[in-house]
Amino acid sequence: MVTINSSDQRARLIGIFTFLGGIYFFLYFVLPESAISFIGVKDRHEAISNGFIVIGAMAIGLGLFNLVSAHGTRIVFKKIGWVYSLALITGLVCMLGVTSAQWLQSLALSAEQQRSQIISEFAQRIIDDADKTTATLTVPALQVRVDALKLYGFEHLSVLETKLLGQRGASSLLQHELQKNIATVREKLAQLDAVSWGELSPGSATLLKEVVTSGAKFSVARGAYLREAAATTTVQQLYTLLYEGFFNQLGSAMFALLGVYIAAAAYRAFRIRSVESALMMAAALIVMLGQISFGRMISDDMPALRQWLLEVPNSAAFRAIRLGAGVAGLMLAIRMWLSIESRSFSAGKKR
Amino acid sequence: MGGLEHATPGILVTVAFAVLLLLYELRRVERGYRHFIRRIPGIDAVEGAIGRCAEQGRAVVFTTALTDVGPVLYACLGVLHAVAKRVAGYKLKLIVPQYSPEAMVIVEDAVRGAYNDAGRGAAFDPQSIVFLSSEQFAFASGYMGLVHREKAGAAFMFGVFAAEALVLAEAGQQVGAQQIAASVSPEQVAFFICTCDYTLIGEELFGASAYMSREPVQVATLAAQDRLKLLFALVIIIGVLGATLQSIYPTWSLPTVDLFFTTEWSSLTW
Amino acid sequence: MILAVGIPVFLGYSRPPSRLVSAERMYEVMAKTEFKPGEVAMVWLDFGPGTLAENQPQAEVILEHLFRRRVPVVLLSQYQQAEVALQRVPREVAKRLERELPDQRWSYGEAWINAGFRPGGAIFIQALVNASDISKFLGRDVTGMPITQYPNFAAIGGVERVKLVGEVTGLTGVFDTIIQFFQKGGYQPTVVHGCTSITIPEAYIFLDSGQLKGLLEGIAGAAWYSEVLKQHYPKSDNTKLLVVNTALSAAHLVIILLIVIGNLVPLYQLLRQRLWGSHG
Repeated sequence: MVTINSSDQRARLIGIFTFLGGIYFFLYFVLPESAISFIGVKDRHEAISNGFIVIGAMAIGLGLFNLVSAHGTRIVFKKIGWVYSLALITGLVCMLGVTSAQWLQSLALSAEQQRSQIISEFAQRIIDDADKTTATLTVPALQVRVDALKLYGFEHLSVLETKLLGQRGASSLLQHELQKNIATVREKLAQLDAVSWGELSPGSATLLKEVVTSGAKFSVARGAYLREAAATTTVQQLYTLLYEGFFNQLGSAMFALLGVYIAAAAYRAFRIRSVESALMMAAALIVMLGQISFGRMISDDMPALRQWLLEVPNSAAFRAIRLGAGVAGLMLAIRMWLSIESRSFSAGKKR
Repeated sequence: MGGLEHATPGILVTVAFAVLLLLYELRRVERGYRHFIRRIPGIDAVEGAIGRCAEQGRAVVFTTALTDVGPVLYACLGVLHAVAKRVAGYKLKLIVPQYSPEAMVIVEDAVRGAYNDAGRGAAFDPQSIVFLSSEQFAFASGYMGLVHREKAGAAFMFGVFAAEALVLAEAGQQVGAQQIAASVSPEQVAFFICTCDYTLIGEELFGASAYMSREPVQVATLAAQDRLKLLFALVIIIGVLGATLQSIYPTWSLPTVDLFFTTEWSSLTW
Repeated sequence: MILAVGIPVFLGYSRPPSRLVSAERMYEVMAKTEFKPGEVAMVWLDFGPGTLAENQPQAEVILEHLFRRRVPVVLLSQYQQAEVALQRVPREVAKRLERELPDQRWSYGEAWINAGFRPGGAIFIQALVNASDISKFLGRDVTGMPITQYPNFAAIGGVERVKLVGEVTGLTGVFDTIIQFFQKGGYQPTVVHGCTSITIPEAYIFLDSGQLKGLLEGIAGAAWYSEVLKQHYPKSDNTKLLVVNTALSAAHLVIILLIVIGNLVPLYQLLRQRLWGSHG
């Protein structure tokens, strides 16, 4: 009698999902568009892709958990180097806190900007809906919608103008630009009174399109204004300090260390000990001299020689390495896809 | 029109062939066929490096650097399993710094399995799998600090590397660690050759785990990938000969090899 | 090393850059690619602070050329740390052009839009390529504005309307994703690439096979490209770029010197031992 234990079942389930996921993406890539549409997957692919992307993003929690548990233990039990662990956790908490606050602030800014976008989006929607047959669409009458657009537009612009009087933070140039756009949108909305809105004629459609265009420019200007005003807030300044001031600069500094290490490696390790190393050295010198400004002082043909080295011997070698690694990767990927695992990859002993 | 259209019937056929080839080799190996694997000096040196650490009582560091979950990680896990098993046998300290949180879970599983296989499951310390950072140079600086503090006696660097490769290798150099590196990124191979004791180039990384463990599945994979490479080499030779003949005799109309790979679905008639 | 890099920068000293054929070819490709109304260029800025020094000048020359040609540009990235580059680079290029040509404007929403960081790598690119309307697929830009609201980007349509794809990156694997997946049946974009010096050898294999039509090889490539741009647009200012290129060249010379010294010292010791060692 064969008993199937739970770990076998789990492995089988994982294997099935792995196979289905792999075959879906492979066939989607390889099969022609007509076949994809015939199966009915084309319209759903975007949603499926987004699902996979979201699952990948969930991994962020794993790293956080490991960091906190490993370094937290060190701090609590005051093991060797606990001060550095404390510094790490403090940095982590600070960055998380400031980024969360900045994210909430940007959400609020986006919501504010979207209120301004409604004018252009609604005007565009009126034009789009009028193109469709009225039998398939249940919407209020055109006149009602245009009146609603005007009402919202004028009200929003008035509120905004009042706010602008008391607001500080953004530059006067941006404020001027925004006020100019507000005036333009107001003018375009006022022009909507000039026609009757029984049905959408080419003339009235043009007026609405002008509202769309001016409304789009207005919301871009509003967004720029809001962002510049937000740049002076404490949250944004802290975020800029931590991200651009510390994080980016530290990354650049670490990358710059490479220059020092290359210099050290150049002195220590680039020794001519054999024919092969002599060839390698000659190639390296030609490529370097061919690329720099001073190479021409030695010979005008340096760049051309460098070009030949890169196009012929180098390409041959790189192609060979890439082909080999690519084929090996393909085989391993097939093994992963078919869940043909070796004993190396599991916690327990396999039969 | 230049370039290669990847989503063609030819590619589908090639992949299907690769699958069948792998299954064939697996079957062959299961039936007892023994493949010859050529010597890889870098892998032969692993035992010596770990032995040296045992003599000096120093830690062993194994990093997969920027490797995310994928075929390359699986190739590295085979070597990691073999290294961890030996380290467990010698009762040494093993440190596995990690860059990717997703890969970290799989790596932990592999190391635990290695300790179990060595009969020292109780000695496995999950904290030996250290998540440093998902940021390239934060990972590099964490690795440097780790190697310096632990005074590693051996450093194994297997996987995907980018610009931080030289930084990692120099850190090991500074503490006098014996270093063995394997990178699928060909541009980093040059840096490893200058700073490491042994370097595995390109697909040697994929062959390393089969070489060390001699497990049927891994040996079969290695055999299948070598056969596929031979086939591609043959196709290249035929293609080059055909193109050369065509250029010498322009009036001849020879079919080109790339027709197989570039013919689109729309060109096929049913 | 600090002196070698610092002296040209502080003194503003520059030398003519080395002539790189790949950059010249890229110029021809960028100049000759036709853009009909509604067609766009898509430029991926996949670099962060680490490779900013090499990739930012490349992004600047590519955008400068596209802006001069009045080609609408969609900017986006697969790398989350590219945010600063996506915001700063086009603005600086636009300001520089407006200083040079005061009667012309390059404004956000007309000359370019910033679609921001898009996660998902190959999955995202495949979905983008298969979308029937890229404007709708991309949704909103970083300002939260629907991309369909910008007249120059309102109805891009399918990926066939992206006539040029630029990829500026120092990351491994990112460029491969574009080459592999940014294509579909009957459509192959013109792909140009700005790479760091480390990844030049790898990029050459794609240039040779025709999958890549143009290549900027590190700062040297950007410097030569700017010189070619200057030949066609004499008022173009590339002084800063040439100074940086000269500083980098000086650093290369220092490395060459260290290599030479590293080889001469053991040689000298060997000779000394052979010639005088027996008398010691």
